Amino acid sequence: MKYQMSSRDYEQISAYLDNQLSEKDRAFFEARLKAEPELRNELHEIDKTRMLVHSLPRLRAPRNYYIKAVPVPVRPTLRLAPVFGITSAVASVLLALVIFGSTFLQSVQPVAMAPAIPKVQATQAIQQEVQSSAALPEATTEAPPLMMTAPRQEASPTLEIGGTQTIEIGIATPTTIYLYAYLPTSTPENIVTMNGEQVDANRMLCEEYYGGAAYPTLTTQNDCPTPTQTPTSTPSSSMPGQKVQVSSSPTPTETPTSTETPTETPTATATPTSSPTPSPSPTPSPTEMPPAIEKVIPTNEAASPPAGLTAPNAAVDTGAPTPAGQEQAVSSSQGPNVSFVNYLLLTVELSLAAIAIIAGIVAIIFRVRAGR
Amino acid sequence: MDEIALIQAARDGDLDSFNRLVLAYQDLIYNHAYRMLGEEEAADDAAQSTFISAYNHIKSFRGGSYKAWLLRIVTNACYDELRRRKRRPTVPLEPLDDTGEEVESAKWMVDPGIQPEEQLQQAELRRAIQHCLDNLPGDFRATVIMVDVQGLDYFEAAEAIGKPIGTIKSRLARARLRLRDCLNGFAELLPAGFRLGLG
Repeated sequence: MKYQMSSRDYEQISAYLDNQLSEKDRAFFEARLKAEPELRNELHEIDKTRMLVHSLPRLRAPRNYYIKAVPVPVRPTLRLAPVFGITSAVASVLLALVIFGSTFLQSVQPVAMAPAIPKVQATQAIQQEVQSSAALPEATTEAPPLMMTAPRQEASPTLEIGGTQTIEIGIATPTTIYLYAYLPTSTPENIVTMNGEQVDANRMLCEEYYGGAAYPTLTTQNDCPTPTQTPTSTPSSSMPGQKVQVSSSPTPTETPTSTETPTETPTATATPTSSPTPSPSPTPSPTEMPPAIEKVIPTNEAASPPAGLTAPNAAVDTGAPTPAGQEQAVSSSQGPNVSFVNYLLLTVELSLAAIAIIAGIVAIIFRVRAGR
Repeated sequence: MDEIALIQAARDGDLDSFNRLVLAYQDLIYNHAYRMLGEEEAADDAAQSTFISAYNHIKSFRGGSYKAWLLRIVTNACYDELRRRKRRPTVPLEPLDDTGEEVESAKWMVDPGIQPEEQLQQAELRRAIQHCLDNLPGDFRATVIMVDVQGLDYFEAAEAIGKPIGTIKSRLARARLRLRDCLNGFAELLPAGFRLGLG
């Protein structure tokens, strides 16, 4: 029976004949050759075959295969690799400029968009009001001035009302106007007017303010109380009339940067029990003390004076809108335009990025092909 | 000027340096092409296309064995020709001598130093070997020609073919086995010392 050789055996035979076996494999194979005569026969036949093939004569080339330089008119071809490379570089630079510019503009826009710190310039009319209010009956406790600052969530400390429960109206500093939302009972009528229209207008402005883009997280629910909403911290709300909240700063000369929270618009006029125009009372009793004013609505205050300080004087009223109010109105109208600009910038950025990437890849491909 | 300097000069565009390399390797390339294709004209075309391709792509040569690089080019050219033949099989026309009979071997293959009878036997043996080579698959054929005809070692053959050494060993073993079986059919042509046993 013929010895059946495996492919592995023939590989070892070829490697053995070509001296390609390791020392260990060679020793093992030679041991097999001594023990297996069939393996020896196959080895001899493969060796003869290899020698026969090796005996084939080395042919010589019938001619020389020299390369001859033949001048060929070279067509001017457009080198595409540098074109795409430059295009990619330019697109990358433009993309960087657009991103930088958009980032810079976005960093500037919130300052312009956000309601400015209502540092209302002290007009003569307001100064007159302040001065006239300073002549009001002295109160044992000072009314916390209405700080016209950016709205903050933290509640202002509650106002502790003393015995007489009177609140002084402070005098505005040269740089800051304190608008007192609390209506002292002895406030002259020419300064304090509580009418429903003014309160409603304030509430609308409050809602518009909080619902705007500048402060999207704030809700109007608590900050712009409805006619049925009661103030959050009111030592006593039994006093008929407005429910106005002011900051509990004891001194009227405090800077606006102290802890102040947005005030709620006076909604006293919305309450069914409140009268549109509170009648001035001589001295507020503890039960009649207005609630502590906690929040300040700077823009609303700037846009329209609080209900408590609406005066016949047109200078105080919305006849002279403050810049903050104007900015509030402008900001709301600029919302859609800003979104369009943002989308436009995003589109431009994506387009430039795609151009840069594709041109760069094409340039690399052309260079690789040219190199080959 | 050594080979490395010639290659570098050729890469820089020196045509004379490249032609000197052509002169050094054209016999090797032609021989390989002839053993792969079995025809002189086809081998001539393959050799010419090899050197043209080598000149056009000299810059892509990044070192190593220049001989293996050329053999790779000519092997691929031969593969292309073999594939073309499969698509369009042809019957080669044998050249005629002065008497009108077919010339079975090229004149330059005749060794004038031996007797005519021996010349005939050698010629027939070569034809038989070439016939058995032609019956091998293309990859087996290239491997056995590089190792057994050209004398390359396993590493050079692996570099020229572009396959691992293990593949070279396997193909070589199987190619030799097939050649052995094919040459057994021409036992009467084999010299006495080369006659293979039958089984």
